[in-house]
Amino acid sequence: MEDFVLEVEGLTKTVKGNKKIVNEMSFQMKRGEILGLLGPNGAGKTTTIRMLVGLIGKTAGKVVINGKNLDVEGQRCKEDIGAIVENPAFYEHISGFKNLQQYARMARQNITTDRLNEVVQLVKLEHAIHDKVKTYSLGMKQRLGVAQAIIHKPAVLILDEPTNGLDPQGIRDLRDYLKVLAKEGTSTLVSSHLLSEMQLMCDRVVIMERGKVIDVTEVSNISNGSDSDNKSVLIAVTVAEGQSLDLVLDGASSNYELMKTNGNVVTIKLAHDKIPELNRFLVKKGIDVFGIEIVKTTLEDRFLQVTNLANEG
Amino acid sequence: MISLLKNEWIKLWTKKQPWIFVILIVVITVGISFLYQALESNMGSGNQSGDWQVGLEMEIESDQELMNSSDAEAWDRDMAEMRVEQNQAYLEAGVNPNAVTNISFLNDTFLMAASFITLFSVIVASTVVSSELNTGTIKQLLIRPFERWQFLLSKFIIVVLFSLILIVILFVTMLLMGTILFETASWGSAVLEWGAEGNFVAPGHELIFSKLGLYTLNMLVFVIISFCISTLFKSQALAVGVGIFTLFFTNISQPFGMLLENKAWYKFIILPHLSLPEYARQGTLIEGVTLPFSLMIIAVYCIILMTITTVYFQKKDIAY
Repeated sequence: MEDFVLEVEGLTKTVKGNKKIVNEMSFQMKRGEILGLLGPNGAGKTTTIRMLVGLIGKTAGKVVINGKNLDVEGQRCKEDIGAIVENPAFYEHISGFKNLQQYARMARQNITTDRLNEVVQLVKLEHAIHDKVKTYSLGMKQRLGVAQAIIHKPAVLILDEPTNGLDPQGIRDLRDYLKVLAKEGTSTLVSSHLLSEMQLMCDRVVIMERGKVIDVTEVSNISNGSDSDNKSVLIAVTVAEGQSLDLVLDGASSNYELMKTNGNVVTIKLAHDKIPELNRFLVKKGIDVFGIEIVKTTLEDRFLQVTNLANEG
Repeated sequence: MISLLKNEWIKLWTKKQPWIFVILIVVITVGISFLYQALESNMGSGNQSGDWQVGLEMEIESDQELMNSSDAEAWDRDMAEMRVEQNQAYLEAGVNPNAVTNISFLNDTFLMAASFITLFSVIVASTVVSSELNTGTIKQLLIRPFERWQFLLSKFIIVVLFSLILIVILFVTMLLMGTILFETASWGSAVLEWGAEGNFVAPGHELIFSKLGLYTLNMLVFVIISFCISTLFKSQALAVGVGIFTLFFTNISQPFGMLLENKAWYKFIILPHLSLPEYARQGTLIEGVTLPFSLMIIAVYCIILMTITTVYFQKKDIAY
């Protein structure tokens, strides 16, 4: 049995008018992984997160955090959680450091000033940590938000839209320190509607739409453009205007499969190690090749694919 | 829980507002002291000790003449009789009704100055939960390993503590100003008090400390009302509004009281009971309503309100 640090089963939230904004959600998070919660606005990501951290009650379902049932040991569960829920809010009239001290005092274990400084360094806020929070930019508040969520070294870190307001450098930093935390054993649940960010940040992604989980997918499978069962890849071959590969390839080899032709760009499916062979074959046949490129299936493609399936179904 | 109290304590004093309130209380007390001094010296009461007894005796004599005179109206004679009785009481108690001491000053002005404390406490009590609901900082509190009622309780305790600090500051400042500006008397010295059933004389410490105690209880009720309303409706404005309305209403409720006194239900609503300090100088607030009854009614209302607030807050979905 795998070591799951967060197990969600049949999680449901019904609001006024019998509307299910989260509907029978089930997923698991492995220890040390960065799991994405991906979905369009209004899919129920924030509602799910609010239920996980106990800000709102759940209508039905079971949540197990680090082996403890949220219904039975609510307080013990919260000890293992650090979270940002939507925009992090702080006491604006005191410094970032004093804000952190507030949260440090609420932790079950004793948190030293050294630990606070360590966290501040990790989120790169050293220069401004003693300034009042009202002088902070949104990005700085996000960093402080991450800091308050990790000071007590929680087993589960839950970040709701943490890239909001971050500049590209900030997003990159966030990605880096989530990796650092993952190595230390922290598992992170990140929600976002930004596909490209999730692709770079997460190990796996739970895709949800209209309150339901519609797919759970390994990000690594998507990003290198291959199916997990065979090592075939898609390549796009750009040829000279007017030349056609249809006839050339037709019956040439069972190794190549012509997927589609779009003007002078031809998409071919083949095994990764057959690419040089195809290249030689094209040269032999006198085809003018301008480029051969591996087509990466992005998370976006996957997302659109599964949401389309969900819509059709 | 101690850590929550510490957090709330720090959060309170890192704002400007409580400091302003502390300063205002001192300024108001000093202001009242000088005003009181000015009024007293205007009245030009013979401060020469020894003379006041002669003065009282002369007053009694002339009143007795009035009582026996056939020219006077009946009500005039009644008034004279009352005055005679009172003045004789002063003489017996050895109290100069016009003398101003630090003790009589404290007794006369404490409640007036303290009404500002109620106002400030209502404002702080209304802000302490609703401001965290409005800014969203409540989210980061409620995800910590504590029960929600523990957050409410710690905030409530800090508000009450703040109010008590204001009372202590007021009391000490007042005593200090009274001692500087007026004569010094012992705690037990008799002071004159105006009651609904006529003036009477009582030892200063009895009056002052029963006013202090009753006032503190009364203020606590206002704190509870504003605290609960601001939590239930997450509206600071509404809570301050209701708090101040209640405060003013109890101050002007006397005419209502007279109109509604005979209604059986009137004594079961909380409003007429919110003049607890009145019990320092009279036995009943409205007919048949004594201190234990008032305390019971107030306790019932407060317990209901606090229970509703706690249960509501425990279950509330925090979604902003």
